[in-house]
Amino acid sequence: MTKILIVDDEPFIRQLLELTLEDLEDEGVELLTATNGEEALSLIKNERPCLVFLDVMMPKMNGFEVCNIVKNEIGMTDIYIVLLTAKGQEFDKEKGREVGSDQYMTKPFNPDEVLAKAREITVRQLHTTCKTPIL
Amino acid sequence: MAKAVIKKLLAKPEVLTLVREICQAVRLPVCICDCEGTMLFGDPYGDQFFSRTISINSEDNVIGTVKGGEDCTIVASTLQYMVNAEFERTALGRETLEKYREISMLCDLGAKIGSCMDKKEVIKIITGEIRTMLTADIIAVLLCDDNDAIIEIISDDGSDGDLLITSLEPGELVENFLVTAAPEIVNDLTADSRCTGSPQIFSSMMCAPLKIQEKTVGYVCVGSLDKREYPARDLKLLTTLSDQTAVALEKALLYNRLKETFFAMVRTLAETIEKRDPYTGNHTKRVVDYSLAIAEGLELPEEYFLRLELAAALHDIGKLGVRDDVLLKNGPLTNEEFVQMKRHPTYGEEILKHIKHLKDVIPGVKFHHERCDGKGYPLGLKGDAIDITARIIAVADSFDAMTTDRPYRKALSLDVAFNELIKFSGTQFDSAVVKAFLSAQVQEKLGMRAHGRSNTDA
Repeated sequence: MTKILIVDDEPFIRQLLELTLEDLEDEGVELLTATNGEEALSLIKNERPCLVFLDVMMPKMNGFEVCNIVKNEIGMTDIYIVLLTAKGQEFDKEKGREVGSDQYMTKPFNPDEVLAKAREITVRQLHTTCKTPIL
Repeated sequence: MAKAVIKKLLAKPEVLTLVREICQAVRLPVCICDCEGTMLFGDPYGDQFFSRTISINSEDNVIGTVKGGEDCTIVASTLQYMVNAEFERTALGRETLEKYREISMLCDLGAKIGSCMDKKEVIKIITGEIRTMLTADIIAVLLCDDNDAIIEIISDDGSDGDLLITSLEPGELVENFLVTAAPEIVNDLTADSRCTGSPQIFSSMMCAPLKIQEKTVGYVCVGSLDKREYPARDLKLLTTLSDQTAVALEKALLYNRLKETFFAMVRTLAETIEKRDPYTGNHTKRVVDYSLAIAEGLELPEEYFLRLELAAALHDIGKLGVRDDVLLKNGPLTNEEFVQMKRHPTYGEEILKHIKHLKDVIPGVKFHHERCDGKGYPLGLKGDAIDITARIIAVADSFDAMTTDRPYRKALSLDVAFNELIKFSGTQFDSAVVKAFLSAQVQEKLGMRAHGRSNTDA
């Protein structure tokens, strides 16, 4: 099953992202949410989402750390990670590259952009899954 | 989505616990089903106790049912309350997402039109954005002159913006907009007394003024063929967009004025030298025309043409620094006088160097008397070391000098002048430039006869 993980410590941001992506739910995509970095990491390991919208500024483990572990330490490089950063806050592009993130978006995010990205990645996922031989 | 609300609610642990506790508190079993009758919660074998079925609704649609004994109403009421709250929360979320969309659009728009210096381009961008944000059949920008008369209508899809105005003839409504200078929604044009035009093409419209320093310079209009109820928030959005447009338009306007002033100043400078040496009557203009035709023949990039035009217009500006008795002398110059005369390209540089925007123009002015063989002045540069602008102007300038009357001789015929260019091609003149000048294409453009064309393979 195709899964998308939403990670943010602010409940209304999670809700808005879920709302943005709810059309995909009807198409059979499962939306998962996490409220902090640690929870996100365990969901990523267990549920293997194809796409993660990951807030940068979070207590305990921030988005950069989570991304770095996923991409560089446990080598789950095929998971597409979009870092979410607050507008006006200077995004450290160098750091974003270092931790292996695929993209970053600023909050308040553009819902159309988020949905388009999610569609692109889930379609790609579907495509590669079909191509992979069963045995 | 609506159908799945109950299922989603029950998927939340805290909701499930609450429902479970309430159900335990009532005497008989309770079950909760979705609108298709699938049981989401409860005892599937409790049928015999179900004396009541209460539906859970959302906006007049049944989205599920609660079944149980008489006192299952408490479960139904609680669930209904949670469903309502969930819908309100979702509605608020959608509203917020809509705002997010607007914020993103405005941010992008600011970046896009902020760097735009062209009026039409600004309007194209803004109408394009309005198209994505609002429902409309036509989006047009009306620009007015100082007397509030409409001078220009630009619509987004290139369609006839006049249609909008025709629809409003005799335009009382539009005139009214211009007088009040306030944004307005007219959801029923046929019912509006100011709208006396025959027969109405548009049913509903919105207008927002474009104000530059308190003055209304135009309107952004949105029209719908079918009758619509544009809400106040649409007008608010339109007003925000028109305010941004006005700022960008003002900037474009100021930029264009600055540019106009600059070119007027260059023309003035060029004119001063023409007036000083009237014998050359219109020499400057012809050198500009010849130079541009040559550049076209050489297929030089478009962005280069302005630089060439300015340099050609100003090539002799340094002659302002040459004494009258030398500049206007009616006869051959002495050696000393010729030395004087040869300083004019350098004087040109000295005059123009104070204008930063003319920096690229200076080489064309300073070196237009250099020769490809290095025997020119002021520096004796050779071949490609001479700026291409100067090489072009050299040919244009010499050709015009040969073909016009001078104090000391009559004009040469075009044939003779062409042959002179060919003769000195590669020594005095750049051969590629001469070749371009003599090409059929350039000759045709300049309206010259085909003289000497058989000899153009110089």
